[in-house]
Amino acid sequence: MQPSLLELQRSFRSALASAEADTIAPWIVANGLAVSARLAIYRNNSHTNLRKALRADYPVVERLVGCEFFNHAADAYIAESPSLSGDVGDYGVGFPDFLAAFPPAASLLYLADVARLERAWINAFLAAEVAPGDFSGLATILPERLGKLRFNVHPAIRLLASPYPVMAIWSVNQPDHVGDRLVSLDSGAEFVLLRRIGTEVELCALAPGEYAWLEALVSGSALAGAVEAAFATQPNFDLACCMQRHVFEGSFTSYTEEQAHEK
Amino acid sequence: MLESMPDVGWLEVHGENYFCDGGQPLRVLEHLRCHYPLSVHCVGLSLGAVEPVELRHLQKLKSLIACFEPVLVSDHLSWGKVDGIHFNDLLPLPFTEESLAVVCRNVEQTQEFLGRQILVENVSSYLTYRHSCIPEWEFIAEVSRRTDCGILLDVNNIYVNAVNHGIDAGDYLAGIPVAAVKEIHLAGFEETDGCLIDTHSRRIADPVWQLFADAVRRFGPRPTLIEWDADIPPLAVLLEEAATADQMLLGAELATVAA
Repeated sequence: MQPSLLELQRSFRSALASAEADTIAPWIVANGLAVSARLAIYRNNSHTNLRKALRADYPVVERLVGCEFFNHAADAYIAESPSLSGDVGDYGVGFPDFLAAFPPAASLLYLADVARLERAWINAFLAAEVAPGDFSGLATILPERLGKLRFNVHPAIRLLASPYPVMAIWSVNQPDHVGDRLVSLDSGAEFVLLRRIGTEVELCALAPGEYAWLEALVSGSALAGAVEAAFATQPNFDLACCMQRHVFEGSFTSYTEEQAHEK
Repeated sequence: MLESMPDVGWLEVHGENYFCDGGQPLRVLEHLRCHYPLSVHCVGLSLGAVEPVELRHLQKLKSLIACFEPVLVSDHLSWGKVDGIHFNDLLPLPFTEESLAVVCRNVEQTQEFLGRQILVENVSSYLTYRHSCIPEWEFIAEVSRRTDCGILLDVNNIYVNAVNHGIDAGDYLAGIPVAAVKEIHLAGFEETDGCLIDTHSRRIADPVWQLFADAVRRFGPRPTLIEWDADIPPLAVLLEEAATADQMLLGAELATVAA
């Protein structure tokens, strides 16, 4: 009896995952080349496509660990993380978290955060384009109502905090970097802002207070809550300076003033 | 490309490479779109999967089409997912009545959602199934007849399958309805263990050029694309291949005018 299309496609899936799975073999014509060799071509193609997608997304990770280790990590990721999208560009989204829990990479404490930075870079690079907002009305808002303002953050803004100097590691591993590639892991935590200027992604290191403030705004806090978070992190946080900088440099696309509920 | 803006008739991009909200890829495409007609060629609709085409994939494709107004939109006669798991590859279908019904349902769903015709492309394959009972060319012709989709005829894939599976490339061409062919693909292959693999990494092989000449005689001049997306050569090499194809198309056009 011939298999249904669903049965056939499920058996093909098993054969792609493992050379041992051969329930599909009886349905394939050998014709000069062994069935196992024919299936191996597909196993190799599909595997290569997924590896290529990971390699394209995480060039700095590959530079740090080398091609062989990268392939080993990629293969382990592929074995446990099936692709869930017809767009192979989506495939590597879970790779940073995978690396964080990948035992052979455990001694490279910073590796997962470097991967997170590379993912944040892609997200900033491909984010929507939104025209800068009009903030001329900000000056007319009464001081006692300022705390209730909420800011819509530009879609290309990404934030990443790490106990390791990930931005420094990332920078010295760019293809156009010249000079010393040594980074001291003891140089401490970094609070990174990624944003897009035109089509170029720019990384900047923030002070902890500014980072906490922006992170609170991104997650939807009103200004008062964000300022509180900033001061809790950094007692000398300078609100006026940060506000001016981010409004001026286009980090926000608009703001909303919370309306008092009418009785 | 952006610097030299070469004199070619049109460009084709992989749709999925532009499934993003903004940034440089879309800017570059916008710029190119101002100078060239565009074709959007997809790899991820999985038209041969038992499960229906995914709505989020269709939605992204539809926005891309709305933005760039491509002349042609296409995907492959293959499958690439089951039970929600994708393989990001073009896997071969058994050519049966059941497969035919599945492909036609998916093509219809896609065309209805997009509100336009799509082209379906024949793929290279490295295995065939014992229970396939319809010749590949009859299968794709029937998909086109039932759904009114166009055919993107990949001449290299016909050659690869002719060698890999011992079918007659002449029978293949003769079985494809002339009016359905809206575009032609050419590409280079590599060989492993006597099996030809469609790698898009080489110049077009001589027998494929010969088959292209036969195809042009049968189908007339159709927009023809050189696919080269692995081991990409200097642009000049790619343009040389495109110029060779254009000359053969021009020959066919003159022959048509003369007739």
